[in-house]
Amino acid sequence: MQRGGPSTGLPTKTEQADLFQAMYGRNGEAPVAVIAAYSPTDCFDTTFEACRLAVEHMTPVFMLSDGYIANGTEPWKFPKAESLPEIIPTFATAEDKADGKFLPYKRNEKLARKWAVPGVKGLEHRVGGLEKENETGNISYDPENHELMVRLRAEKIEKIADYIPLQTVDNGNPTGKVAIVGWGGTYGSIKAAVKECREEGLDVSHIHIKYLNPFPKNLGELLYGFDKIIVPEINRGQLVSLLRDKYLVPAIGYNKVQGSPFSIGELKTRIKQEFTS
Amino acid sequence: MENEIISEVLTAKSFETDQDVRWCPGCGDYSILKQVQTVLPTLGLRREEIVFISGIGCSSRFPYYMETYGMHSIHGRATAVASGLKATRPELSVWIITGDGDSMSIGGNHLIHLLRRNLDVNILLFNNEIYGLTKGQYSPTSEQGKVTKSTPMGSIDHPFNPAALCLGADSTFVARSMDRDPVHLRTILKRANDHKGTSLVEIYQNCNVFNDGAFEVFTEKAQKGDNTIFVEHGKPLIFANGTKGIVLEGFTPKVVDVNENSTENLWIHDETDRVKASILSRFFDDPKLGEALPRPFGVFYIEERPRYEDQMTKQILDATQAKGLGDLDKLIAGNNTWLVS
Ligand code: SF4
Repeated sequence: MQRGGPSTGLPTKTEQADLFQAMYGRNGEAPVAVIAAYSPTDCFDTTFEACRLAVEHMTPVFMLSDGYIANGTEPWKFPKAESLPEIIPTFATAEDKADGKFLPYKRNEKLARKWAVPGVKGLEHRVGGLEKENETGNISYDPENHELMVRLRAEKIEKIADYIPLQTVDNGNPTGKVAIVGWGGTYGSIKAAVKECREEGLDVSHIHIKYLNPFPKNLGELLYGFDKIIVPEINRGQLVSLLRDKYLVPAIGYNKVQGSPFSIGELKTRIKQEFTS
Repeated sequence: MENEIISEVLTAKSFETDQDVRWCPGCGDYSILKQVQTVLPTLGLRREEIVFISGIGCSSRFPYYMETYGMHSIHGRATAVASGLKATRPELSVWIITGDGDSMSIGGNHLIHLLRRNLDVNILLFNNEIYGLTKGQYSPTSEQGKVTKSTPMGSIDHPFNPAALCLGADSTFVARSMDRDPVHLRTILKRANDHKGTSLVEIYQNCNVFNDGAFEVFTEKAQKGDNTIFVEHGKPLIFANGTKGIVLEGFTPKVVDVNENSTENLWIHDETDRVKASILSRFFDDPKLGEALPRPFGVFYIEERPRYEDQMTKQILDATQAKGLGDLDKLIAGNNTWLVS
């Protein structure tokens, strides 16, 4: 739940300044999954999705929300429990033993380890913070193994991209002159601003990213289809850095850090600059 | 297969892992490991229902050496991880391995909350009065004035007395033992396991590399007699080969000559007496200063108090009985919803 920082900062005000912390906040190079809700109604689905990723991919997941979403309200047509997709944890069983030994750090096609739950005979094993040898889970200081494990942990997160939806365009054409790329609680203001600009005949599209780590597989291709990419954020430019870094696109930040959301007017003025100069 | 499962005969050896034990040669941790491995097969537990959870430090490598489920968890947070496990899986036998740095410093907060909640877990607190893993800085149990790498002029911190601290946090089982007395340690470990609630066992453990001899006045034959007292429920407090005893004058403990005092006047240890247990826990004088009370070992205090996990399970059962099984749809719908069309 992001709010004006640092520390206790502006407790009741909104901000989007913790994306970097979620992305990079761990010691060592150990990425985690990061997803963000974009509206009050989206919080349910995003939370559900965070649980799915955590359980099926065996990883901590950051779900980011913000003060604007938390204090917002909107009608929500809630789902029936039976319509929710199933979350399927992969449990280890005695069959997972090879030559009489259980390999606690063996990975499945998602590169996730299986859940070996205390109480199951034959799967006794130790997990812990010290580096482990691939597959056996023995403590290992072997340099090659460490590099392999660092890579495996990163690839495990990257692999999630195979199990999440492709990025869609929220409003507007899939290619064109200007893309407004947002994430989180700026959704409503960007949506309204883009809609009004389009009604005025401007070629602008709105892309809103829910999956921040990993990004959807088609995000790069999508961004390459636009002449200009503007990234409005209630911070000093975090998503914009990630996009530039990952896709080498000349994305431009539009930033405000005042504890308040963007107004539709502010965003429209910024969009229009692209069409007047 | 079923038969094979039931008939696994466990011995101390069954609990050894194939990992190299990485403690320094001569470290007191070896003895504690051995005693735990020796006691476990006598407890009537199955291997797969035993879980060792540790924090960070020399002692916290312990789970890697136990052929059971184990987690070398977060610094100071084995208590939190174990609480979560025990609350959701009450049938497991959960053991927390921690040290004086892990439990008294970074994990002090988690420790006291576990104690007051009284989950049925066993905490083995390896107290060596030093930070061993980080190579010899003073710890929260180091005596005042201790010269270490981080306190070249002597520490000015007043140390924690773990037994007194844990009694203060309403621990329902507080005991002290030592690495150098395997028989005593095994007895205490068994009793800790038998206790239905959080058992706190402080174990004096020699770090022969960075704090060698910290407890030798209590553990070595030559000096032990005068400085150490082993307490047993229902028995008088006698030490120094039976020549000295303790009497209580009001709330003040006094050392007396047993020959001049009939044993009837001596303090009879009562594990269920909280006030006496707290006085006992305060036998904490530096033996180098004259007139010191002997340091007690044994079970100081036991109390039967409802366990957290039982109360939690009961609350869930009661709620289910009163309101029926949970219904996600009803929960989400709440009492006041309408359809926007
Ligand atoms: S540093 Fe001390 S406590 Fe740690 S393993 Fe060595 S002797 Fe044992």
